Amino acid sequence: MKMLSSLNLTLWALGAIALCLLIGMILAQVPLSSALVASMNKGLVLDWLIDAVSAGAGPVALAVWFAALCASVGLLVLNLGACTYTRLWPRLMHAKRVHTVLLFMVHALMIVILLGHLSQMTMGFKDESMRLLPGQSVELPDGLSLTLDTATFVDDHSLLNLTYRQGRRAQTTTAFHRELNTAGISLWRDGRKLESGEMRILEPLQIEGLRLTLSDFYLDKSNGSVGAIIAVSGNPLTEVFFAAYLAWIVVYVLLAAMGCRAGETGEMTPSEV
Amino acid sequence: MHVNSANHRNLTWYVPLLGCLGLAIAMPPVSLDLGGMDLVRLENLLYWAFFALSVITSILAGLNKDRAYKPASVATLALGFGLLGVISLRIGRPPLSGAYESICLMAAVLSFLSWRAGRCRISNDLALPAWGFGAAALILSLLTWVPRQVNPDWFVYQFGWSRAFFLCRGMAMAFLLFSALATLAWPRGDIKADHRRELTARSRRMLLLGTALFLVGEVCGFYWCLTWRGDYWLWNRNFMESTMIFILASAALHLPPALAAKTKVLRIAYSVPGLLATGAYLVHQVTEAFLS
Repeated sequence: MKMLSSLNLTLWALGAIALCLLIGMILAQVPLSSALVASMNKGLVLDWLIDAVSAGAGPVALAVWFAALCASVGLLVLNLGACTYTRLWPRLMHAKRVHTVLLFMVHALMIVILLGHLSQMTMGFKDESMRLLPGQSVELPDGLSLTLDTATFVDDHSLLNLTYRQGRRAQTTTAFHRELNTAGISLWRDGRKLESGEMRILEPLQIEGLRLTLSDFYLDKSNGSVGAIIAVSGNPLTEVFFAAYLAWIVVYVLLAAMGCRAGETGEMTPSEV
Repeated sequence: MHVNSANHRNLTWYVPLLGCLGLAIAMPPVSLDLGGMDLVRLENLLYWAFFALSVITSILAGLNKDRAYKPASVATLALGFGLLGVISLRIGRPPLSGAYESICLMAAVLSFLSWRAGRCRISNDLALPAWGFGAAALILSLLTWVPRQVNPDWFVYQFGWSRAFFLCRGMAMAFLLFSALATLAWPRGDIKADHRRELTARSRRMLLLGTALFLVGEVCGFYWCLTWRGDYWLWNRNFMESTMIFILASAALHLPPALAAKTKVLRIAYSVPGLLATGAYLVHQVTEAFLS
């Protein structure tokens, strides 16, 4: 347990994560593998992983990288848990000073956040690339189906089908009218309309436990009509995860401020200078 | 030896900086009629004055010319924030992203931190402000060959979450770089132990505050991404790079006692997050400027 909660292990785990991230950054940039990395965004990572294992050499190599990253994070969670339990919890019991409480909280919340990351990758439903034209429907879990009723795009069609970099330059506040460009959708189950609504970019809808996000419009060049790109996701823990994340940031900021005010030197020893 | 540590620990110094951050996030679209005043020309003038004075102030601090340094540091600070103000008035929003906007933001915050370090100096030594103003001048020098153009007014920039993300990130980079400078700014010769201790403590404080600011920016960015793309996380270089910065800062703040006892290790650990983060950030901004 002593070894599991040691700062040496913390450094090894953080080093392993940093190395995996460095490799990931390279993979995301290299043309040969960038499309494979991008494919991880389309749905749940767990589904991607299951598919990747049975696919060709490229996806398998990426899956190995991802497994190494997960193993490194897993090691950090173990280390964090052991450290919180064997070092910070006894400190908290003996001295209930604000600093000690915050130090305990920041570590405990970090564990919650890392587990939250895991839940977001493995639980619920996610499809980020639904391209629908008006009148088209798509099947969702639990017998639900989503229909795009209308797609209203009032601006110049040259603003459509752009890359991220092109869009950032062209979709200015004067050229692109976010409030006027809308997508009307309806959600159905067994032929019965459950709910309908109007979506805008940066204004997601929450219906039946699903988060519906209009991420962009696109131009169908075959018939010249405008469609909508909709991301659908559903995870019961998203709000919990964000609440934990916010709490962690608040505690971290307080701890940093307290550390600065007190001239706190943390793990540093007097011999360090 | 006089170590002005208590003054340096006083967090009220940061209130004006946080006030500016709040104003920038909440700034409504501005459309001013300035009677034909050429703001681009004024901006250019301010940029060159800010750049030149950063160099001069850094030299004055390096030579420990205290009498000349004091007004020069105040003027540099005023020029830095004046430049940010004029950019904001001209484009109707705060400077957020892109090489020109982010470098001006970073340099202004760096000059604030350097000015503050001069007010809370150790043993009348101005090495840290010299490094700080020098670093501000160095990053401003990039704009002598990178186009000094603001980014087009992307509709996303009107949202508080995206503004907070860009502003916090730019400011955090200045804090992290300053943290690195505090460990690198050790004067030559046999400096006393408490001088070294104070510089190391300052570096750690800046690392803590920089990481905190960076994380506030990250959570704003996560929320922006969630409302825009349907997920708070994307598997791409930018997201992994951001996580890497946090991981490196965390590693530096969790050194085992045996390693923390070694001066060289501590200096490397405290300087690596700032240098790598700023390096990656600037490379990203500069390459984007030429790609677009």
